[in-house]
Amino acid sequence: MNRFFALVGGALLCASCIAGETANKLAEKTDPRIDTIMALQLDAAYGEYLASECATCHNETSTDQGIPTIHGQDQKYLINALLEYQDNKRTNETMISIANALNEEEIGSLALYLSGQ
Amino acid sequence: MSTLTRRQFTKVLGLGAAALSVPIHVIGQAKPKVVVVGGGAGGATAARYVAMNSKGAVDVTLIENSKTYTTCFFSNLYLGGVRDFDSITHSYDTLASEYGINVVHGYAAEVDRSAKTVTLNDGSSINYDRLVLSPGIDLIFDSVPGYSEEAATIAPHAWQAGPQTQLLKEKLDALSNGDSVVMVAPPNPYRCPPGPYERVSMMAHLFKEKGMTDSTITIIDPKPKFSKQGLFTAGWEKHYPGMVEWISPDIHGGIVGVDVNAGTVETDFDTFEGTLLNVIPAQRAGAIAHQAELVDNSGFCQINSDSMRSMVDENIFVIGDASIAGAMPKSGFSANSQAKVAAMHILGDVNDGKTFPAKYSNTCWSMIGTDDGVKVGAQYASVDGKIASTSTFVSQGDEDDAMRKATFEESLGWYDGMTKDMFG
Repeated sequence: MNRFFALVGGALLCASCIAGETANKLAEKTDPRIDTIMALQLDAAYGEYLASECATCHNETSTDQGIPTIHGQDQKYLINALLEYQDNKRTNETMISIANALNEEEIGSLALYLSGQ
Repeated sequence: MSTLTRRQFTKVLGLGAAALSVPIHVIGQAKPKVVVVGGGAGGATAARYVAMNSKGAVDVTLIENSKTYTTCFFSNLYLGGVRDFDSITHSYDTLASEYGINVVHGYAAEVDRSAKTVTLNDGSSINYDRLVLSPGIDLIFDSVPGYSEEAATIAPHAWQAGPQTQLLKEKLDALSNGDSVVMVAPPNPYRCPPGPYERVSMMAHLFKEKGMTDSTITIIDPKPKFSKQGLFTAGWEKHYPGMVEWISPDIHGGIVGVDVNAGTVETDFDTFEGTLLNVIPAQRAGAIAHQAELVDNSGFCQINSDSMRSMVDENIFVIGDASIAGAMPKSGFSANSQAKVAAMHILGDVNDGKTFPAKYSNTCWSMIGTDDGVKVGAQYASVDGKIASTSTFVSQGDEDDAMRKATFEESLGWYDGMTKDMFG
């Protein structure tokens, strides 16, 4: 919970966070594709490789200086955030570009790995 | 009788866990040896990821001449007085102490590809099963007639961060209101495409902060256009009106040469005089890539776009500025991204690691003024044997101040993440 509120101040993943809602509630309300992705055959090892690209900016001990922490975040929340970047509901151009380069299996595997950190 | 410190005890536990994860076929044999030459954005990252992901099953040696590493990225902010030198200088200690990497401070002079050894200047040799070359760039001093390594003590290039960066800073700080800087920008391809123009922005920022608004900066460019050109030129007009002039080859007609003692740059059209010259010559892959005969006619190294493996030698990976990486620019971010692809394939080769289709990323942030950050970037994949961009983005000219400030703050977060990703 604390981690979620820490995200609210971040510049990337939190552009459209709604304060007071939990990550799960937010995710469940917003997109039915989340469950579809969760039901895919996801590969945490692939997620680990994909997450290494994230680590260039989002380090595990980030102090939230301009870029929020994503390690240890809720899996559905991360999937929802990446889908929102794909849909241009979030505005950070870097993240939109990154999200657009990921398919559903990659989003799911990435979120699976990151949520376990 | 000896006692274990907490850190030593943790390391013993870590080694025990590592031993359990070693593939059975490796037990009883010598560990595979991975040698990395060059401890910058590519090499430090590659060494760390091989060591971290092999969990002690691979013997990793990092050869780097310098005891500390000063990042080229953010060095312009140091020139502009926005960062101090210590904040862009990093130690290799954590790579050795926490990741078990054998950090060797020496100059890697020679690769013997048939014997699979790297020989240092002191005559010692190190064997490898897989070699990562990340030597960065060498400057082709005589690409600008009249320029040389010796001339760089008068007219610094500061395109390899460290003492040259400090020298340029000293010379900038010694200027007075009304003094002028003339920069000779490099031809393509070169390290950090927006770098010269961010540098000019930071020089102008420094002058403005010191009240030196009569000082000017003139860029003599061999290229007809440059990275983020519209954003930079608009930013110069906004923050530093009348202080920055960019002169394209259409105007100057070609760079004839420099005289660093006279402080002049001669072109076909005119001779430009500056109190301080900043000459950034053409570039090629670092010397060891040439010695190992891995370069093509361009002076850089062709690689397999799926893996960053040299097209010349399958036991060698070339990453970072020394490689020809298709659509990817020569940047620290690119080198860091390429290092992870190389590390994955190295572990696939020597440690039964899983490999996945390569994905590459780059973002280049540039600071034009205080709280005025812009960026350009892309995602990349291997397409038909080349690294091609799959999605791109660039800051827009009509962004408001809050967006530019957020972009600048984002770059601070990136620097923090990037350097932790390199050095642990």
